[in-house]
Amino acid sequence: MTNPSDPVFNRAPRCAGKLWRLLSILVFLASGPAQTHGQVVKDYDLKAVFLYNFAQFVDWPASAFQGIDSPLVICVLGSDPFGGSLDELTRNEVIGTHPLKVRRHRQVEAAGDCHILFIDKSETDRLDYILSNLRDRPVLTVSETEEFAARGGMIRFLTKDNKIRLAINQDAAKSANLALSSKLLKAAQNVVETGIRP
Amino acid sequence: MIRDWSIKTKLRAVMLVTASAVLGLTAVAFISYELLTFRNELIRNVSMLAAVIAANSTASLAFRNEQDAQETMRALQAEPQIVAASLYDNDQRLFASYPSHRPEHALLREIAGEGYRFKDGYLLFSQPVFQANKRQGTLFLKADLTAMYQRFRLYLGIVALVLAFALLLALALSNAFQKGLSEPILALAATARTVSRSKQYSIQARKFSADEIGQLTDAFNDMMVQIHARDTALRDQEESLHLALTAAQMGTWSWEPRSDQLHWDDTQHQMFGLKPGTFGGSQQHFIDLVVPDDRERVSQACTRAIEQKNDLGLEFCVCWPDGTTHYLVSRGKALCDAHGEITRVTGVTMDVSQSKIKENKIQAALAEKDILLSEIHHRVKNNLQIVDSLINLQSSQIDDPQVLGMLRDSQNCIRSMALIHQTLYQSNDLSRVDFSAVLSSLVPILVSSYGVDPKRITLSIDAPKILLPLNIAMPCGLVVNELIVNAIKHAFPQDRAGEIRIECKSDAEDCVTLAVADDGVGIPEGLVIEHTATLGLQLITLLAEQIGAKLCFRRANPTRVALRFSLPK
Repeated sequence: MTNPSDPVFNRAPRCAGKLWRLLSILVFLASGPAQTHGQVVKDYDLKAVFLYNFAQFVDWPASAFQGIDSPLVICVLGSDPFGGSLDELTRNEVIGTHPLKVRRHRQVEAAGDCHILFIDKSETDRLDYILSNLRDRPVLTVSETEEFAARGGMIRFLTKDNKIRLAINQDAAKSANLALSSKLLKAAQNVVETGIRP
Repeated sequence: MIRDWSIKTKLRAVMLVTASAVLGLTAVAFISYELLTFRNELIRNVSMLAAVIAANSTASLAFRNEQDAQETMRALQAEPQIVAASLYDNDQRLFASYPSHRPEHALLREIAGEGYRFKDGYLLFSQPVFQANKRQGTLFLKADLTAMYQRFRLYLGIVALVLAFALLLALALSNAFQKGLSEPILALAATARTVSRSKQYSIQARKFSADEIGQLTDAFNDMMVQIHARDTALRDQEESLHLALTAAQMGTWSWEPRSDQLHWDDTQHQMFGLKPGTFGGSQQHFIDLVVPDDRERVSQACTRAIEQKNDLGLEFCVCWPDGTTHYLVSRGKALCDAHGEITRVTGVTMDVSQSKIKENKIQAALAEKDILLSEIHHRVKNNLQIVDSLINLQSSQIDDPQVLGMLRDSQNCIRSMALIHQTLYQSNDLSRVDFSAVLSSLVPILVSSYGVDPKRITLSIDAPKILLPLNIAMPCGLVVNELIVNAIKHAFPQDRAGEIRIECKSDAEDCVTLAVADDGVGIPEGLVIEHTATLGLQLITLLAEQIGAKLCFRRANPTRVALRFSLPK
């Protein structure tokens, strides 16, 4: 029978506690940066999905397409935070009769025929110029930039309770002749109907 | 047992069972249709509900808005039959559920397959969620079937009530209608019972209608008329038979071999010295009443009659309790069933004691007469022998050979007569004599009397046993005597050798031929037989006439004299 007062026996938990703390620190150091990066990547993957899904909940005027089977173009202006996920997502996909296509631009002038335009945060400084350039064009503008909707953008990604939510400027969409599905509006966190028109 | 129910109950049961069957089938058809309709309606409703919820959840799924989806699902509160719902995204993750706090929603997807199915009292429904042909996820609904069961229970209750009411109505109607059918049958049955109990075959059943039951009543009444007529005739015949049997002092009996039951009437009892109704009633009881000497014979006769299926004939003695012996004769006739087995033997018994006593007396008188006759024949033979001896004595004193010859002829005639008497009293039958035996005795006497050399003249007899009455045998004996003596004397002159042949035969028509033939010299041609006046020939002719015989002569080769006569019937 082992005696509980045996010094050798009593020493063991103390040694194990120290070792456990050391291991925990090592794991935290090793996994911390990687987890943060993964979370960012995952967010953009989800946002890429959202971009793809917008195509299903928005009706563009017929004039927005050159032909019945002309592509529905999703553009990224500025740096591309999606990596390859957007290309992956839209490969061989068709919305109605329109195949999906992804393009990347540095200049807003080149994005005039896009149907969905994601404006990266890197373009925040030029946002007003960009939006004014696209005024009255049937281009669904999407961005993560704060107060994007208030500044005349149509849909803004915002994060709330670790979940991606949407803020929609319905007036901007209307003026661009885009019909947003009521379901999309219902799913949005915030619908800005009196947004400042750029 | 249903078959033992009364007609009333059967008719009532038939009507009730028919009504129940019709109503039951109608109710089953009605409930089945309603349940089927309700089931299809439920599927349609749940399907529509699922389509609406799915359509409203597309954006929530597309933009990962669980809260929005949850709100959409909450709309299901308005549908009480939906007990649970769950929404899954394309990655098979639970996205939203209703009600939100119920843990089994996560399992709902596993329970339901594609489309719908009923399980454990629930309808499980699966609805894919599409937006612009792109699948966003899957919605599962679980609907409670309590409402359907409630409706089912309600229908069952209604059906039970209607059935109960209808059965009560059917019972009332069957009570009213069955009387028309059962009353005539019951009346007929009651009449039949009355007839059976009272044996009054003149009773007639009441006729209620002209239908089949009416025809049955008519047939019954007609049958009763016939039975009544037959019964009356039978009673008359029985009375006549009883009178006849009483007058003839005959007892009747009936025996059933299978059950060994022997029934006697009163007269039969009286014949055995018993009081009416005291006989034991079996074959053994009867045998015990027979005197011990006759028991074995009577028992065997009964057994033989049964085995050979013959009529029974018994003659036996019984000893009455008063010690007197009675002679009874019983005759029985066997009655067989369809398989040829004896079912009953019936018969009559007569007391023949008086006849038997008379018969015995007659037998005794006859025996006495036979003894007397035998004695007479014996004495006649003795007397004839005395005559023969007297002639012998007288012959010794006579020298004339012609007279001696005549005396010897007479002696032979006397001997032949004595021989017939001797043969008669030595035989059992005193009325007839065996003539072949007479011939066998007579021929040696004649041969010895005339000193015939048997080597020179042989005598042969061809006569099988033939019985002749005394009145014929006596003349025949004398005729044969005369003919043989005549042949010995005249047929073989000068030591001529030859044969004398005697025949006596009867043919199929009881016609007897008695002939004596010899191969001697024959009757001379010049001798006219009819005109010859010899004593012998006259005697033969007279004796032939006496017995009505036809006489035939043949002169030579061989010489033959024959008598042909018929025996009296």
